[in-house]
Amino acid sequence: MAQSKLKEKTDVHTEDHGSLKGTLASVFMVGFIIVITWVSVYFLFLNRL
Amino acid sequence: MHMHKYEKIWLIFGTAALLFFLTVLGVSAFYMGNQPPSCLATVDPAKVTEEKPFSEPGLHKVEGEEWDYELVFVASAFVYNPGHIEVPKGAKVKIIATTTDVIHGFAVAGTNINMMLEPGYISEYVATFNKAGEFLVLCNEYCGTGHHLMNSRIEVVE
Amino acid sequence: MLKSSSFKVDSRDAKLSMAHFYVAFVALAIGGFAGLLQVLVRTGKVSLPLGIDYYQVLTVHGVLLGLVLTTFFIMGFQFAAISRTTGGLTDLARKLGWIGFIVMTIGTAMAATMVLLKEASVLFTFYAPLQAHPIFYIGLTLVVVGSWLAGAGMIINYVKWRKANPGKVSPLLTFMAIVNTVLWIVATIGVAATVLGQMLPWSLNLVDTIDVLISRTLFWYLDIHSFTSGYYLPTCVGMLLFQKYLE
Repeated sequence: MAQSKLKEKTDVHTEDHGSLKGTLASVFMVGFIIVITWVSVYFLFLNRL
Repeated sequence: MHMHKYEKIWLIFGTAALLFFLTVLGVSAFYMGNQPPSCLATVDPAKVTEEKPFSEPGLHKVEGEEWDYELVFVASAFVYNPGHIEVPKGAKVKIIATTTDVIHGFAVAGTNINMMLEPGYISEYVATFNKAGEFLVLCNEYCGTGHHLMNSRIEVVE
Repeated sequence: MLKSSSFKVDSRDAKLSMAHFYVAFVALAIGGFAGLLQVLVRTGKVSLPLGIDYYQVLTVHGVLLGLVLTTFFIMGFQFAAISRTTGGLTDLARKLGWIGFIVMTIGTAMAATMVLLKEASVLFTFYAPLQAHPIFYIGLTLVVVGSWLAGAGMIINYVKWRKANPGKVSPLLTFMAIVNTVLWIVATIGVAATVLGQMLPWSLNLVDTIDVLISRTLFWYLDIHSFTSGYYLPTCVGMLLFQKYLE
């Protein structure tokens, strides 16, 4: 089992990745949530100064 | 190193966001003075109440500083001294606090005042009380069996 | 269809791994239940026998879930991962694994007993100058030392594998386990320093005072990510790799 994994690793450039569009969309949604929450809390902080 | 295009996009976005956040906080801290409250002044926890300013807790008017008042608090297991204080609305107050025994928190709900009181160290925070009303001071660092009962009140009056 | 026979880990190594998982999941069960109890005790809906109070339950919840579950899971998972991908643990690695496991379990029992006896209601962060019974600190030290012994076994195993397989790329799961072990050892140095160098002498009355700032700084040198990501990352990679096998 470990042998075939090693062979696959050295062939990584010819491998088909499959579409990563969904992955990109998902992480950008997470990033969006992070930015929104950060900005919201920062404005709350400024508000209370 | 072979990197997928999307991976490059995400890494650039992530790094840019991080740089932006850090810059905003950096400017806020160093240019606008929003620093953490623990000033490095030390004090002997056993003798706290014997010396100024902690021998006289409460609100004091001051002259010649950037702030109008100094509000001195002494925390000890399960009680803040003073337990209740009135502050004029619009006053710029420097809160100076420490503890006589274990670590306590000092958080004024609804404001930005939130700091740790560590034995042997003095914590300071300058705040302007622009809103009238009663503000609850809570201990937000576990200090023992009476931790959840520990509180004080700051009343901002016109 | 996957053949279950292709997923076997050497049965002696499996025993070692499973021992860790039994402790980890018992800790999860008790700690999780303590979480529920916390709410019920704090709101006054339940009063516990033997005079157990809210802060004791809080401490149990934090220590079992944040320190015990995580450490045992990490070590158990890593042993299984290393055994599976390098063809089995060496006898020395397995021996160190068992010694480490026993030391960790004894340490856990010591700390848990002190908490139940109301001698250590200090929450899982045990900040000074809240003081616990010395046996609590010794117990936690044993948990960390036990994890170091297990880690040493894994590293020795890896070095042996590298010597026996010159020029070959290390199996990914093993590599992750070893890197995580190194991260873990570096992270726990801080907490070991503050417990052994500051808290234990102070609780044994060998010194009168303790510098609170240094103690907190050393403790958080540990960084929660070391023991949350420590099992999260290898688990995720392990799952992704097993997915590949299933295709």
